[in-house]
Formats: sequence, structure tokens, C-alpha cells
Amino acid sequence: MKERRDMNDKELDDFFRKRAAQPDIPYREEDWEKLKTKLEHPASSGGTNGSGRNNNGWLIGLLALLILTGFYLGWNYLAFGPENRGIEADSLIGNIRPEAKIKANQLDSSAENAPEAGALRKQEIEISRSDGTKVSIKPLVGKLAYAANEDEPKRGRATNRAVEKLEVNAVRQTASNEVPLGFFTNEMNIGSKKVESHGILNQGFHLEPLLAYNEEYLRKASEESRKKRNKRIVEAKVDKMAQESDRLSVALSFAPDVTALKIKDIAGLGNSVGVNLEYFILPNLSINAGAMYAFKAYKGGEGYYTGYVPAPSGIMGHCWVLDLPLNLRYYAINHNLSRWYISGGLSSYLMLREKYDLKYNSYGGKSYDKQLEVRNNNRHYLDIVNLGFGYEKVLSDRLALQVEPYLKLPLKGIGEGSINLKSAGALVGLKFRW
Amino acid sequence: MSICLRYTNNRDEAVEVLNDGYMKVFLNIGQYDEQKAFTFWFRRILINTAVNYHKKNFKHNHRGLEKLPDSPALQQNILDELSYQEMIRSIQGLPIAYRTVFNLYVIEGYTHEEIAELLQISVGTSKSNLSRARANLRNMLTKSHEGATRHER
Repeated sequence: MKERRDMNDKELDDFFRKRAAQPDIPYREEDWEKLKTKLEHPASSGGTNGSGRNNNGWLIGLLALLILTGFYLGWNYLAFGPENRGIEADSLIGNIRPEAKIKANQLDSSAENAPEAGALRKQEIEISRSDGTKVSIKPLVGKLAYAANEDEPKRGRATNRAVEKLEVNAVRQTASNEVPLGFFTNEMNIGSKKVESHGILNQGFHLEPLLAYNEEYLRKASEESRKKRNKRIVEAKVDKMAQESDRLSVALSFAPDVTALKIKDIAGLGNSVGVNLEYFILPNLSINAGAMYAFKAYKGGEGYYTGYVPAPSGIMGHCWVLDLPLNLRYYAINHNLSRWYISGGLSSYLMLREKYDLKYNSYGGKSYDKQLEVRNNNRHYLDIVNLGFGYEKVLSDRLALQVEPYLKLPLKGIGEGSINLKSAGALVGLKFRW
Repeated sequence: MSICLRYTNNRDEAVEVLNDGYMKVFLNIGQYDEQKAFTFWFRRILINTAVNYHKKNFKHNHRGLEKLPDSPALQQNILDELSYQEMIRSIQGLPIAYRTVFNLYVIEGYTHEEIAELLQISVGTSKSNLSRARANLRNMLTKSHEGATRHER
């Protein structure tokens, strides 16, 4: 016998063909039992013809949803974060001693009589904040106003005089109009005298001399500061709500398309109409979920294979489908009134009604037709890939127009015949932003 | 059953395909043309069912095209004859894509054009798969022969 490795193709083929024609298959009773079970319970038995449901599609969809949810929560935390709790204005009133009096100090500008400016400027004081923390602050020495009184010596004359107590009516606001953190009293030595100075510690931890104290003013200033702060908080909340509302939109869509098994077998136009919900998880990234009622028409020629045997020589199909797309959309180019985006995701087809005209060539050479109608028998969850790119034009504050050419490519066989059903179209949508 | 064994990985899968084929015969008996032989029609049903099975399971088949059994579990037939069981096992040892093309072309007599239409592949792929199937079968048969020869000694 010729060595097997030297067998040419024809010899090898004949070798296997000869063996295949002489089957020797032992009988097994259990095989017959399986068939009996199938005959008795055709719906519940397994087999090679399933419903088309793919558990992997569910898992992929669930995993994608979990990832997107985590993305959204993480972005929320980073974008908004903990609010600035700041300091409650009311708690500051208690830091102010209503009985404090302001004593104005006049700084002698002459060199010889000037107080130890360095000492003044460098002198640190310890401030207790309303929350109990202590801070060491170098006081700012600013210009001090004074009001003349009858006991005041000549103004401007550099003297080494004793500091006189003066009460002034002038009120100088704190530089920043912020709610003060605290009211302080500082003792300084100017010349031979001990001088008390009073000031307000602002939120920048700067001490500002308060030349005149007016309890009414401080309360009013605190109240105004509190109102401003509350207004800022409210505005922040409003902004946040506005941002959240901007994230959601709904669109009404219409899409003419063509459906085919092969590019040369286009049987006519189909169409779909429906709604799409869009939610922005990032400023330029949104997740879209929709429901489209679609009509698809297609045809197939020789070699078209269906789940029915014998295989027809030709087919003309009309399908009514509920298309449930789940897409991610990325807005890559953004202008004030328009933007461009790319879209990708998965669709689920719920085959509501399938109607086929099947053409057969019989073995006698004649041809005959068979009509087939199937309702609600096929479901394809997340078995169709969606690809598209679109253009959005802002029409008004809340209204926009979208145009998006797209492709739909199946991952598995679609419909009763498990066919490679491809669609291409252009979606036109009117989007309303909440 | 012999047809189904050649298209599937094992007997259990072959039984599934065969039973589905029977069901289709029962459900579509009205389409049978009595002017032709029933076995021919039934054969076509089984082939189409097996090919459909191949399509549904192709991407879930864990045996990649590059993976082949190191040596098929062929009995060392001291008579140097390839038994039917050995032949089935050698064909089942092929990757599903090669196996299907080999069966359709060599055993069933399909042309490459018909195979390409049926499996929705190109003619070139069909020819390539057939060539690889033959090479793999030749290799398996050679190993089996050499093993049997050593056993005789």
C-alpha cells in the first residue's frame, strides 16, 4: 500500500470517500430515547435550533452598564465634591466683644519718636478662632485715622507724647468685606505707654485695625456677609441643578435605510421611527438608549440559507422590528451652535413580524413559491453593532437638530433564517433638552 | 448518523443534529418532492442542519484553527486498515472549519462555489481550508501508520 504521506489529493479523497460509504456505527438505545423526548416535548428539548438568545450579550450589556454607572458616580464626586462649608456667620458674632472700645493710636511719623515699628510689625499675637484653634498672626499696621478732640495735641506734630484715648466715629470696613473670623485686642508698647489695639481677623488671617467699633455695624456686616455667602451657596446649587438638567435630553427620530444580505441585493427602502434618550455622563460623552419601530425589506439570491430545509433559491423578506439601541456618543468637535459626534454601541432586535416569500427549485426542475409568516418568535439581544457619526445644530436654547448616518452590522444570524442582515441609513432627529 | 458524525465533534453532538434533522423532516414533509429519492432529500436536510450547527457554534469552538491534536486517538490497527471509527475520529480531529469544507467537498460533492455560498465564506477560503484539511489528515494518518508499525515490531 502506498505510504499515506505520499498520497496525493485524489487518492486521499478516494480513501476517505470509500470509508465513509461503509459506515459501521453501533446502535445505542439512549439515542433513540433522546429522539422520543424531542418528539414528545419539542419546545423544551435542547438541540441545535435555539431561540437566538445569547447569555453573553446580557453579561456584556450588564458589565457595560456597571462601568458607565461607576464612571458617572466618580465624575460626580470629582466635579462637585464636598461643598465649601466655610464658617457659619452666626458663630462669629459670639467672638466679638460688644463692650470693646476702639482706641485710636496715632503713630508718630518722625524717626526719633516713631515707635518701634519693627516691633510693631513683627509682633505676633495668638488668635483663637471660633472653632477653638489658635493661630499666631503678625498684625498688619496700617494707617490709622483719628478724630480730633479737644484734648488732642497738634495734629501731625511728631511727639513722644503719650497716647491718648480717643474715640472715633469713623468706621473702616474690613478690606475684603468677608465675615470676620474673630475680634482681637492687642497690647503694644509705644514709647512708655501700653496701648491696646483692636482689630478684626479676616478669613485671610490678616489683622485689620478696626478704628471704630460699632456693634450694629458688625452685626449688619455679618448679616450681609452671611446673605452673600448663602446667595453663593444657592447659586452653586442652582448651577448644579442646571448642569444636571442639561444632561438629559430626548429626541424624536426618523431614519430611512436600506437593508441587505449582500450589497447587490437591495430590495428597497425601509424606515424606522422612534425616540432616543440621551444622558451626559461627561461634558462630551453621553449614553443613549432608544426604541425604534423599524420596517426592513431585503432579498437574497441563490445560496441563501435559512433554518428551513431545503434551502430556498431565493427569498424576499419583510420584517417589522423593534430596535432597542444602546449607544455611547462622543462629541469630538464642539462649536457654539453646532457640534460633531461619533456614536457606537449595540442594538437589540425584537422581531415582531417576519414575512417571507421563499422560492424553491424542486428536484424535478420546476420552481414553486412558499409564503412564511412568523410573529414574535425571534429575539436578538445586543446582537447588532451600531456605528455612526453625526452632526448636531442648535436651533434654540433647548432644541437641536441631529443628522447621523449609521451602519448596523449583526454579530449573529438574524430572524427565522439566521441571516446576516445589514442595514445602513441616515437618522434625522429633533432633540429637546430638559 | 454517518453524515452527522463527520460534521460534529462527538457522538452526542451528532445525535443532536440527527434528531433535529428528523424533526425537520416531520415538520416539512409537505415540501418533499416524491419524484426524487427520499434519501437525497433527507441527506440535504442533515447537511444543512449540520452546517447550521457549525455556524452557530463556530465562534464558540475552543479549538482554534492552529490547534490540532498531537496525535489522534486512533487505534493501532495492526492490519494497517483504517477502520470506520478511525476515519471518523480523524475527521473529528480537524478544526470545525476544515472539517466542514472537507466533508462538503470530498464526501458530499459540493463545489467550492456552492460551499462558499453555503458557509458565507470566499471561494479562496474554501480552497484553503480544504488544502489544510487534507494536509492535517495526511499527517494524522501518517502518525497512526507509524505508530501501528512500531507496535508490530
